[in-house]
Amino acid sequence: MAAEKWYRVNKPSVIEEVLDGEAVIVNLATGSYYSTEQSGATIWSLLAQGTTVPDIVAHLRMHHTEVPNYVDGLVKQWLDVLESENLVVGEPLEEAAANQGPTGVANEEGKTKTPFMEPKIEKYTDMEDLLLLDPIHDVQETGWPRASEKAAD
Amino acid sequence: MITCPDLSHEHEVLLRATLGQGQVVIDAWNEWQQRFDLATIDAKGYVLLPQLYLRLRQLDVPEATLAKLRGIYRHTWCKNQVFMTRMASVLSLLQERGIGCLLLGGAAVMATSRFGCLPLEKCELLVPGARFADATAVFRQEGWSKRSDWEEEGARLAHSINFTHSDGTTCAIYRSVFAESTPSWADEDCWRHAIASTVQDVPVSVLSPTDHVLKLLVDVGMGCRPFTPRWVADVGTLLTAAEGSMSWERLRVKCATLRLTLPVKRSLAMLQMVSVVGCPRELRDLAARMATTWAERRGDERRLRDPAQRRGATGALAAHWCRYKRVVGEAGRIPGFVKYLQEMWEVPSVWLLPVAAIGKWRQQLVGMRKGGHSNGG
Repeated sequence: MAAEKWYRVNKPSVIEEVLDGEAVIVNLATGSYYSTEQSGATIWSLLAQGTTVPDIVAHLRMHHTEVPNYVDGLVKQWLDVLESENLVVGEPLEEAAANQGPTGVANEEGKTKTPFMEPKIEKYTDMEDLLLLDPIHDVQETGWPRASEKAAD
Repeated sequence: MITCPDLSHEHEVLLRATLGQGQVVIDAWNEWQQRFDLATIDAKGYVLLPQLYLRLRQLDVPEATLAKLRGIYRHTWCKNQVFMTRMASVLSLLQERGIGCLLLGGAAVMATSRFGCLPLEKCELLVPGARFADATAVFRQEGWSKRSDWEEEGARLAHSINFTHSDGTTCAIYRSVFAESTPSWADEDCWRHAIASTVQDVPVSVLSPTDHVLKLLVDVGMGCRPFTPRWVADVGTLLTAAEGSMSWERLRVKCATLRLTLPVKRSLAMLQMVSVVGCPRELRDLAARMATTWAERRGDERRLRDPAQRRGATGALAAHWCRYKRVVGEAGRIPGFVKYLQEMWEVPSVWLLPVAAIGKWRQQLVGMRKGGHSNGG
């Protein structure tokens, strides 16, 4: 059985913020911009402090309804995606405990649960071009970073 | 020249929505939506939008109605993060050489308030006066270019020097917090009360809210900076974030000792005119109690006049006296003032001072006849 890993954000290359159920992530090394919502943002907020797969699963069950039984596999798959993008780093749990161990799952009973959806991530590879977009006139109604058709041309 | 507040009605509504509390914010936001449009907002109003978004979400205004505002917030956040990455590399450079930095400007406002999300345009750093030349040398060695040739000649006395990187990032290095000459204790006091923070994990000191509010009031009151929605937002954000921890007595003492009372009173009066920032009672009381000297008033009157109208030796001497007293404090006397004038005008002997004064007066007259400007020394 593979040893349990502790996952954390790959700082200082990666900067991020979770606001209103959306995690906005920037990889400064590659100039890529990412956005994830719902369960993806829930998972990311735990990664910001450092966490493990069991902690993530427990947190998802606390915050979402209809969480499938195979959620462990989904979470591992998701973390593999984030690692392949160099957004997170997985370390052996013993090393993490020596440096700064996981903080565990906070007791947040009483918060309204939302239906679980598989985590997804949107990636934009050229942040320099994205930042040149006028966030009022060059974007769709859903707002930056989604460029309008005219601006995309 | 100091201009009166020139905020449009749209700016005032946006400021109320950004800096207000509770229902004031909702009412202002509703008013803005009914009367104005994002597509026609100007640059001065635009800078308030990211912070406005945070304020509206704090009050649970439905997310669905704020889609574009959310995008503007994200856009600003991203740009600021890229900016702060460049700022972090500058801070590291200076720290490697043992030069401490005190963060000023927009980055300092953001560091002291969760809701201070305004676009960052320029990195502003205070370094110890004795290390100013070292700091500017570091920038030159790293390929940053100066913004103007004048700064080379004025570097000996320059309050600040601006640098630009090839990637467009601008950075201003300050040798003192206030543009007017101040004694070393004024800056030492700022360092002593600075707040420890980090910029992307690089440790840095940040100007305390008390000193920052004082600097903002002085900058506008002296005409070093225009009165804009951005300025009002910075003052309002600092006052809100520091509520309960502002050191009003320290602000009062600094104001009085540094003879900055008149510019501060002027800025407060302008803030009251737009009435979007709840001016704390303590600040209003301070302004009412602070007294001024004859020389301060004469010097201030002279500063407010158009440069072409600044005639007369009395006003010029009063301005110099204020500057001198600001630096040396209560210990300042006439013999010291004479020596000060000698240094300012680079005159080798005190007997040549009247000659230097006449020369400056003639320069001023020539300048006025040609239609140019002269400060008259």
